[in-house]
Amino acid sequence: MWIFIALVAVYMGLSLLLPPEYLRKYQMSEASLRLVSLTIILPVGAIQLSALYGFLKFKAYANKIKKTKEGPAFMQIANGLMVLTFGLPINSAASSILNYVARTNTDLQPTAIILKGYIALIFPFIAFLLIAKGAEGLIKTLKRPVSKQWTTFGLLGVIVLTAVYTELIVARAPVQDAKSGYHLPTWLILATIAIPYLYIWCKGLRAAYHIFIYKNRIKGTVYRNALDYLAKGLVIIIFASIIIQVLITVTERITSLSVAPILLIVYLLLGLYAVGFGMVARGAKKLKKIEEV
Amino acid sequence: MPATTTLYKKAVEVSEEYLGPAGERFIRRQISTHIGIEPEELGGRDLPKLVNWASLAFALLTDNSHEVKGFTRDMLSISSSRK
Repeated sequence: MWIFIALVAVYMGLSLLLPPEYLRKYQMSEASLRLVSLTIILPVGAIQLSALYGFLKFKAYANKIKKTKEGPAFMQIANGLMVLTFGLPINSAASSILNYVARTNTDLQPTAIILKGYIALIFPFIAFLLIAKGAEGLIKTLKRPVSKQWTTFGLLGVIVLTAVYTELIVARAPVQDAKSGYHLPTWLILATIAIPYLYIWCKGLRAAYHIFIYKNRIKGTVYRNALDYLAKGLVIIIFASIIIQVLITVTERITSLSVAPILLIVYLLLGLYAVGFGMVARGAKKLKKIEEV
Repeated sequence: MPATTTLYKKAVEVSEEYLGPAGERFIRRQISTHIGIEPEELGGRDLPKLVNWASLAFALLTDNSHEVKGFTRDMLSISSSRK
């Protein structure tokens, strides 16, 4: 836990010392810049701590039921949440350091941006794989088997998401453009960013779907209510992740906006993450309490 | 099947209706913590005490008063179905 808090502190300190580059172009005074940064840094820190709280509650719950038939599946979901939670401050701190590197050494800017992209990908990638495996384990404990086929709605959703995301990547600014989100050729973005993201989004959404199925098939109104929070929280976190990636693909269009809409987008995304992690934490707290009274 | 085991099973069934897979663990905890016996030793004379403790504990898990009333009613029905 202390490692996590130290990481959050590193992120907050670095971000306060080095306000985001996208805010610099609005010709604010240094004090205003830090104040605006603070309105972003503090909620991000609070979200990271609420994610830690949710993870700790969920891990404690998974530990309590580890010897039951659902135990291993819940433990895998807990491990996924751990990777997702610890990935937040690691990613934020690494991002702040790389932003500083990019700002002080323009030759290293492309490398820093590429590294940032991959660091942002690796944690949710591992996390959603673990959560999906755990959710699959949960439905295996059901007496009546669940179909492994995609529903028409799910399949159409994946096709639309893939088409839109690919179009946004292909239609973005050329690689040499410094404002471009990735600093990589299109084929490499598709192969190493777009495909992994689409894969984990599908895995994550399917995990939430499996938790919903599990919830609907088992008895227990109070227990189901707690699982409902968990599944909905995961869906919101995945949607926030999708929106962030879509925004990165249209960075050059967003940075041309004035400061108010940019801050609005940032606050909306923070709000989404806060609701998502808050719901996971609430569900985890309820599940843990069931095993304690 | 011994009557005590049937009573325990009935209590677990009621609990599972509200707490799903956690239902049996919940009832076992109430019996061992508050009555101080092995769950399989649950007898008719222990039922009122179990209903009280289980209802109190259940009320801590939900804000829904209808659910709490329903749980208590269903637990009480185990005692009445014995008569």
